[in-house]
Amino acid sequence: MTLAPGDRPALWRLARIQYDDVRQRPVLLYPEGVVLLNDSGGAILALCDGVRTIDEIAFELRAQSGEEVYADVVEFLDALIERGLVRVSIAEAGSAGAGSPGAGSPETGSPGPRPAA
Amino acid sequence: MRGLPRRGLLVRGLPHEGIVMMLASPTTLVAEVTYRCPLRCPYCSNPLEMSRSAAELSTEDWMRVVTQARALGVLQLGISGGEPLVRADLEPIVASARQAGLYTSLITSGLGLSTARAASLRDAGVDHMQLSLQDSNRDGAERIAGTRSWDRKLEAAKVIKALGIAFTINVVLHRANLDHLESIISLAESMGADRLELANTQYYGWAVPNRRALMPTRDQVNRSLDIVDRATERLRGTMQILYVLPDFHGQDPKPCMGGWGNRYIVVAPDGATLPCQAARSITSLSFDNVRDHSLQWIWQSSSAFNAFRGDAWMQPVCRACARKELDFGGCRCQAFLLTGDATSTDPVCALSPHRAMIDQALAEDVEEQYVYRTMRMTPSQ
Repeated sequence: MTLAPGDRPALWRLARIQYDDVRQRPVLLYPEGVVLLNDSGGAILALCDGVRTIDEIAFELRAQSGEEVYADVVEFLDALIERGLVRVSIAEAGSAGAGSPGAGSPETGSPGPRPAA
Repeated sequence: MRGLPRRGLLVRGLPHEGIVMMLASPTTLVAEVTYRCPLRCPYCSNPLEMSRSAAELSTEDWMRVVTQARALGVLQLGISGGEPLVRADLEPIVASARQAGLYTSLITSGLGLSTARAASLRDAGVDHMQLSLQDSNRDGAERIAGTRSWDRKLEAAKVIKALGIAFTINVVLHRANLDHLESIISLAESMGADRLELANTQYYGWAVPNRRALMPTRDQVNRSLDIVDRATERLRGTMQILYVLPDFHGQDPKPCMGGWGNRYIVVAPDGATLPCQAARSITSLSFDNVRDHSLQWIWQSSSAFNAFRGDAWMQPVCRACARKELDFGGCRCQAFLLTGDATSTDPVCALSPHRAMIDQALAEDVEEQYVYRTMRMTPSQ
């Protein structure tokens, strides 16, 4: 699956991000698992709240870094979606995030379209 | 004859496969806070010889241990047992873990998990609860548990779900329930689990004297692979399925604990600190105690944690093998239990001179009766 610009990624309900001051990097934690992140990965995931779209995330990161990051964001999130660690609300035509429970992280599946909850 | 797929790692479905292998710091602490348990499962990995009277670590000991674990690099805490809920002081231990920044899982039979207790543990900082089921039906489940437990487990599942706590169901598989795999998966689905861990029995602890009663047939194992593959695909995005294959039926040993002293620390109820839950079965080792030493010292310097690090201890056949980076020569406890020498190549390996022991075990006569776990001081004969 490749993410579309209007998709709204969110961390899996069971996962959380924190900064590991032993390894000096952000880490993604979930049941019995750890993914070590670099700073860019941490910055991307911090914006995956189920409300922001891929476009909006890339825009915000570009504003911070001054670089075009859209392709990197998609590649990074695709890999985590493949592992089930990031879930996606499929873009809704014309909506402004209505129905997205935000930080609570929707139980919608990935990959592939699923009926809205 | 169809063998198991040679995928390198025996655990399928691990989304982080390979990623944590290169860490120099431990990632996971298993806190076995008690060996007391209302269940008597005949595959329990707890030691055969357990003393009721052996003093369990205090609340303060555990609070210190989880804090030291985080400072050492541990990110995952599994609170296990026995049945951890028999301890009334889990909340302050969990709160220390949360404060330190650990991702905390409670691994429970569900007996003792009232709504009030579950909410209090969640509020203290438990991130995730893992509930064991023994089968897809009352009779099968209670025959394994050795006690009335079915209704209380169904109730516990409702409690976890109603509170919205991250929820894994785990089921140990063996000859008597492997043919119920489809209904086990359906049950977990109907309970609303986020994850389902299906783990074939591993032969340590009480499973050793019960091996002939637990060992599945190759046909059962082969059917299970197809069932799990189909369910994994069907439930993708809804319920994650992790399947731990039975190593006896394969050709490659499992990468036990991700390597000895490489990722895991297990602290037993009395404070003995082990590289894996079954390590006390290797009677040639001695284990240091968190009452006497810091976790950091034990991790870095204790003889037990250093016994099988690197490859100097390996048999020549392992040291020369390209797979040693993948499976570390297999399981040390299994090597010891079967050959009497913990440095042997895991007999599961097709290259082991002891592989015939595994094939004999697979061909053993079936036993119908279980030897149930007890808390007696001496192993049952």
